Amino acid sequence: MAPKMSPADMAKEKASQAMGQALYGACQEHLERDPDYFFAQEDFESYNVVPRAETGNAVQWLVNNHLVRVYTSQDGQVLFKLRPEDVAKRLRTNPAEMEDLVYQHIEDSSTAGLWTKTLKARANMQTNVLNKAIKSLESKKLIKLIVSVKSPTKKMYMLWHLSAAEDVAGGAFYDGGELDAGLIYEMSNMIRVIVQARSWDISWEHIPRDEWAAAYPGGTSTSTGKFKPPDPRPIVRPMPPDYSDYHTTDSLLKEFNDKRVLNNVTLTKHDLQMVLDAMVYDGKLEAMSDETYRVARPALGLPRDSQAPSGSLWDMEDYGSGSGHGNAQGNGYTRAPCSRCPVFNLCEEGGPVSASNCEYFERWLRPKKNKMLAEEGMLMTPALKERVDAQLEALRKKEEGVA
Amino acid sequence: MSQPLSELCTLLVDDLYGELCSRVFAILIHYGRLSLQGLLKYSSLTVRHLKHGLAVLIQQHLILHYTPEDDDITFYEANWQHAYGLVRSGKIVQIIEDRYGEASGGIATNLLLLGHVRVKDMAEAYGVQKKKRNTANGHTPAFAEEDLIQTNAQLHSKIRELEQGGYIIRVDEKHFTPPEDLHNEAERIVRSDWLKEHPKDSKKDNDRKIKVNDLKRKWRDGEGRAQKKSGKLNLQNLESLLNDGDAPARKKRRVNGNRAIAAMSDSDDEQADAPSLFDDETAFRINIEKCEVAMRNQRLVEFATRYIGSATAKVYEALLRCLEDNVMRCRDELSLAVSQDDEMERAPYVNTGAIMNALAKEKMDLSLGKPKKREAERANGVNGHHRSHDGEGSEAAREAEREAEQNLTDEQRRAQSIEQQLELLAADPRHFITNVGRGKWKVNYRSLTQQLLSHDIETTIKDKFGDYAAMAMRIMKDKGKLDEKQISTYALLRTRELRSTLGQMQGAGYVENQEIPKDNSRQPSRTLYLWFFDEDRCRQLILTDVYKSMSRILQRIKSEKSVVQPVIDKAERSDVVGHEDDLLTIIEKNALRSWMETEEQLLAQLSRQDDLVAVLRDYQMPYLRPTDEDA
Repeated sequence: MAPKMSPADMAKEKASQAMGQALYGACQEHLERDPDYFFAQEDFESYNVVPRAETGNAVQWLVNNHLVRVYTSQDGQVLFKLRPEDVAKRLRTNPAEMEDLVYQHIEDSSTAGLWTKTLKARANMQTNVLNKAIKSLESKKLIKLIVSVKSPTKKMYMLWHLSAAEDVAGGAFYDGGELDAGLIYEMSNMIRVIVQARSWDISWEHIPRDEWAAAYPGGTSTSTGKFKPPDPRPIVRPMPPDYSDYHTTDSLLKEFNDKRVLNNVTLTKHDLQMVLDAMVYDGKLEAMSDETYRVARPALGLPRDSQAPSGSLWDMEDYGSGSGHGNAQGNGYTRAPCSRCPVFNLCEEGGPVSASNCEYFERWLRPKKNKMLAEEGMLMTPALKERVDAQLEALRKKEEGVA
Repeated sequence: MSQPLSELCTLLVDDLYGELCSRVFAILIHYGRLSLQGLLKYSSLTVRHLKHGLAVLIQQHLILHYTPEDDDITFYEANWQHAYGLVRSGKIVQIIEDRYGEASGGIATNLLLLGHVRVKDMAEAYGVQKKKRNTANGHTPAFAEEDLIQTNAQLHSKIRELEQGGYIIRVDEKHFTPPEDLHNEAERIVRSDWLKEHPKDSKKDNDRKIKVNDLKRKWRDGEGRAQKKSGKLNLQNLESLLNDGDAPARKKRRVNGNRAIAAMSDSDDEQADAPSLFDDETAFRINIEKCEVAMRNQRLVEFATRYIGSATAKVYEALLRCLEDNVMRCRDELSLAVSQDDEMERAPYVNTGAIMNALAKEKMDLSLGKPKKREAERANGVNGHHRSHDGEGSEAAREAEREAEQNLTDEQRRAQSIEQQLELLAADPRHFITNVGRGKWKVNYRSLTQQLLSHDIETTIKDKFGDYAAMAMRIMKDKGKLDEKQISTYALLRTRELRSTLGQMQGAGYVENQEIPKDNSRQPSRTLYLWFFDEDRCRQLILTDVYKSMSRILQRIKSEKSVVQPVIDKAERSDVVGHEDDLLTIIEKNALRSWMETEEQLLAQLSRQDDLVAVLRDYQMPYLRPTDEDA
């Protein structure tokens, strides 16, 4: 602003300011309805907050104070766009011309963000000048660095007060360009619980005493507190074929957004569909028809059926069945030592590794014996096996002698 | 033929028929087709030994032979399908026992043990066996009194029953000929006929192929034997059946699905009049192909149990059993079907009524889940209001329904729940059955076996590489070639978490990676890497590994056995048998017990691996055009 002003100018300036602010207020009201609106001269006039003759002055004042930015459309029409007040305030204290230029370029990119390389090409500046301008703008909190999901390594800038567009930020499941795995995990668990409630008819049956009592040959007195009756077992019944109450994408969306299951996040249908699709790929859900889901029976997460084979064949900890929560039964091959054997390719009879000297078979066949040895810090090596066998042999002879 | 498979087959032969046989078999499987001279050259056996081995192997159908017409050199070839089939012996006996009773299971055991047997010899053996049983033979299980085979007529009726079921077939000369030679012979016969009829028209290759297949089919199914197709009998078949004199039994059996009673009641009377129905010289053997059908059905029932539940699976089992009579083999290389639609058209069907009859004796809870109760609960609950308008209307309807339900007899209620279970099977995303109208059901074996295959590959991958791998595999299968970024987007996983899994899978050859350079520089940074999953390649990889793993189990059994061999020898000594308690020490008894446990564990694993092989190899149907296009 000019250092010295005549009183007349001062009065004029004051009038312009009042009118400008009135106009700005009116425009802001409009923006609430339509945030990306470009104003034309006629719009300003139509608000009727400023006398028609004074509109020009008012707009000029807004431009001078960085409150609006001037654009020229393709057919030559002059259009205006509003800036937030605090941004304008910061811009007013910003004397450098270069920075203004940089700011305007970044402003043009709006919520998509602008890559520094593109910025350099557009602004046609030297690298060090550009970097200085960027740094200065950043320190004034006019622009910020963002991470794009598409190319996380690219340096992108966006105006400070904007939030990145969905394709840049990646939607609800991305946090600073990183997939929010925790959120997705929790969400899919919640979805499973919600969908499960309408998928199967699950009731619980108490196991009759004489059925489990046999498992405790030493006696079944519960009064001593020694033996606890087993938990009731689930009875799962499928829904009849004409059942139509399975959850759909829409009903789930409603459930999530109505009950505010996720704090501060309003899910879009697209986001939810992504999670549902991923869960179908994961085998947790199955699509009954279009957008209708039920929990796949193996993924019900119920305690093991008492009749189901226990994992005793594969009890060794170091073989721990990576994903065995009752839903991954494996098959004959994956439950045999060979499927995990690191030297399977070398294994042949007469070779350095063979079925007869196989360590893994040894552990697999006699997990208890070997587990005991392992706990004592002795794993079953061939040499050790010999020793153990010798001891057993001695024991045997002793016993024979007694007999 | 892969090396692990030949190793496995040789081990199986060795296990059952001893070293001489396995040596001859190993040479043939290793070198391929050989004449006797060739065999002599590669083996260090004498002619006498060699011929002895060959005779045993031929008797067992483990070796096929062929003598060209204009030559007198006989060529021998290993029959790996039958050698592999040895691993299924236990299952086959079990299947036949389940369906036809213990006596028939005994016949199956004998047939498996001896390869093929003439009716005469079988009758003789049973005469002998009966005497043996009177002298205390501890191993023979106690048969139910009526299930004993005591007369010749009974034996014949059992054999007839098995033959009608397709579980045993008459041995034919063609069964000893290698399939390639059969094909060549068929081609030669068709070609010479063809040239006689159309001397100048040599073009219609396709027509000739059809004729060759017709001829091969005729040989396979046995000349003059009736072949049932698509659940209907055509006139000609019906005639031959009537001449056979067993049509009523057969028909009745199919209608009411209650095999044992119907087949027995009719054919028994007839046989009483005509005691010798089969020529004494007729030889029979087990039909492995039919047993595979039963195995497949078992597997499908397990599949339904896993995804729907045991009650529904029970209904499914009954349905599959009803169809079983009309399904002769899992994969028909000579199928008449030209496309998948056509195949479905030809597939046999079963009526709801037949399934109900089959389930008549089963006492089990067939009820489905009750959505009503839960819905009502929800209506009373907190947020039941928004669905209240339609709630009231349907509440009244439900009330009426409930009343109607209470008026039903037990019988009707049961019928209703069976019908519902069937519809449930059809409505499942896996489409276990298909409704073809008016209470008729068909099973799309092709799509189901494909799903079984995917399921088993998936479990294998899941267990080997973790949950992410299985997920990535499904995504790639669904979407085709994908960049790692795209996979992680679909899976909602972080790219770097996925990357190592994909790398491991690639190392094992389960997935492949394709490089697409964006420009000529071929720099890694300017290159797209697309991942893809080839199911068939993966299937073969797993199959080979499973063969190898099976061999290792057999070898391990051998080495485990060699440790306790002295104790086993002692326990089998004639003076010890029967006095084990007195003559064996505690340690010896413990050793024997632990050996038996070990063997059982290993054999159980072997049998489970065989289940996997069946899915990966035997149930896969030959390629057919996916849809029916009008050419």
